[in-house]
Amino acid sequence: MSDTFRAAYASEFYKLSKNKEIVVLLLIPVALTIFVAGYLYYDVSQNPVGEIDGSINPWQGMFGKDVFQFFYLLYPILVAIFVHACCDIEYKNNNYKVLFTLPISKHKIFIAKVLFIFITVLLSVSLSYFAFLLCGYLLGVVLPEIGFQNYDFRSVSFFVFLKLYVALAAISSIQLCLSLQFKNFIYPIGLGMFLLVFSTIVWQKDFSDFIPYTGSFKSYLNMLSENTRFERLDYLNLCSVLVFLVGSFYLFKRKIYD
Amino acid sequence: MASIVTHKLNCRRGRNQILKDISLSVPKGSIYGYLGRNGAGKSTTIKLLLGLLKEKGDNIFIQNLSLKNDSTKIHFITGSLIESPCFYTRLTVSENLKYLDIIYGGGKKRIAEVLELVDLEQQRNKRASALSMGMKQRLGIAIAIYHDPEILILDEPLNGLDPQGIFEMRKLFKNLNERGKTIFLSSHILGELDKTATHIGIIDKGHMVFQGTKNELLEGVRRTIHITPGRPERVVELLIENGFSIAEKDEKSITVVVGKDREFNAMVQVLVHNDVEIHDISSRTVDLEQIFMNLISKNDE
Repeated sequence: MSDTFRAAYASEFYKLSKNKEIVVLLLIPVALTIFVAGYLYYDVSQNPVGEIDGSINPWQGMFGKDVFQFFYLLYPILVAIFVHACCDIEYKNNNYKVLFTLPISKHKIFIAKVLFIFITVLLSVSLSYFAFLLCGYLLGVVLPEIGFQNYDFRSVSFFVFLKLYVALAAISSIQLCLSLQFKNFIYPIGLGMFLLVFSTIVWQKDFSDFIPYTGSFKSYLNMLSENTRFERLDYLNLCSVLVFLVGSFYLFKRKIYD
Repeated sequence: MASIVTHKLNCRRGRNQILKDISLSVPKGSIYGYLGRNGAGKSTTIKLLLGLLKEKGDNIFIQNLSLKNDSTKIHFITGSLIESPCFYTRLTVSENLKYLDIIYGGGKKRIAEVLELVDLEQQRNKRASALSMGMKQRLGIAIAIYHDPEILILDEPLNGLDPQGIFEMRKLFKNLNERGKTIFLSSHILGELDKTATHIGIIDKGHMVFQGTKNELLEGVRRTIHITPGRPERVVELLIENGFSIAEKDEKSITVVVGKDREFNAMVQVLVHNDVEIHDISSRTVDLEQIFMNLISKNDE
């Protein structure tokens, strides 16, 4: 027997990764990136633009804009569904009873779960980032007239995706709190969607930085403005991760007595 | 030596006192049948033993380990099945055990061994959600025994099993018991506990009404003797004179309540010495169900 973090993580990883649907869910953004690139190729092939004057960066003004228009709405929803699915696996059959009678400390199980969520979301964002770059390079090859090959967008896109990940980590922590509190998926998903829409409406207000969901919408703006700076919103998102994880741990421990 | 000991275990939910001063003593190597009506507090006791209820746990000891300080160690030496079998429905039968293997070790050999023990080898690649009720129960037991625990705590483990399944589970419990495992099981199937348990604990309305070996329980219970004498009136007089209590009488027969074997013997002596003509005499076999009903009806009073 091993009351080790390794055993806790390996067992959580094994159990959750067997639920392929929830992992595949996070591959949707990759598929979407490829789809947008495919559409761009189709659109330009159907309506040739001739030589572009060079004032428009296609990474940001065409491809990035279209991809992030989907991402800022889609990613938080996917993350909310994914996090709830990770909790739901324990709700079904009242498996918390099994979980809490394992000879592994509760905090190790909790950290293992959180790590699985963060790593999977990171993997999804990383794959989307690589898909974004790859599609851009391929578009530069097949459609040289648009000019993808004229710009080095690796650094900008890296920071935009990194800031998106920080926002998604904060959103994951909030969703974990909600999913541990509410068994019925309507509440965590519904509240998540409400906060997403609300933050999109109020993004210009000063207080919007305190709503991690704003980070998702701002990633779209970051892409348009090529903003790579870490700002108040990003630091507040990092703080939200810590605050909501502490809250989630409290709720997780309470599950023992449900 | 006792495997499970509790000192005056109490549990309160709001205004309801669920358990009141429950002091369990489950001897090592025993099969301890924990009996009680629905809502008597059986599952609550089991949850307390496993640390699944918000109580201090400083009066619960398992293998001399305090639940308060050594819950992780206790969870390693105990296997449990609480209320309903818990497993991951999206995983197959063997994947559920593989999940435990990552934590406890044991490898493919142990997985195969456990599947054979609970007779789920044929279903090893079946999704747990697709199993029948009885098979789910077996999977729950497989999960409980996977790490070869010294103590098994099982709440209604025979629920949903067909007669064949119950027979096989009984064999499994006896087999595990012969290997030195202590088994604490609650059940409402009294006949099954009668056949399996070596020790009995009876709880009613949160109070422990009996605890001891099955023989002690049977010894302390009065039994009924049904006599068909030639002259019933004369027999009634004789028995009352000699201090026996008559439970029932009609024109032809009398029902007498006696305690231990000595009392029965004394009654027979009275009848023989007085040259009573007896056409028929029978003793009703007292089973666990009757004893259980007697004890809880006393508690009701």
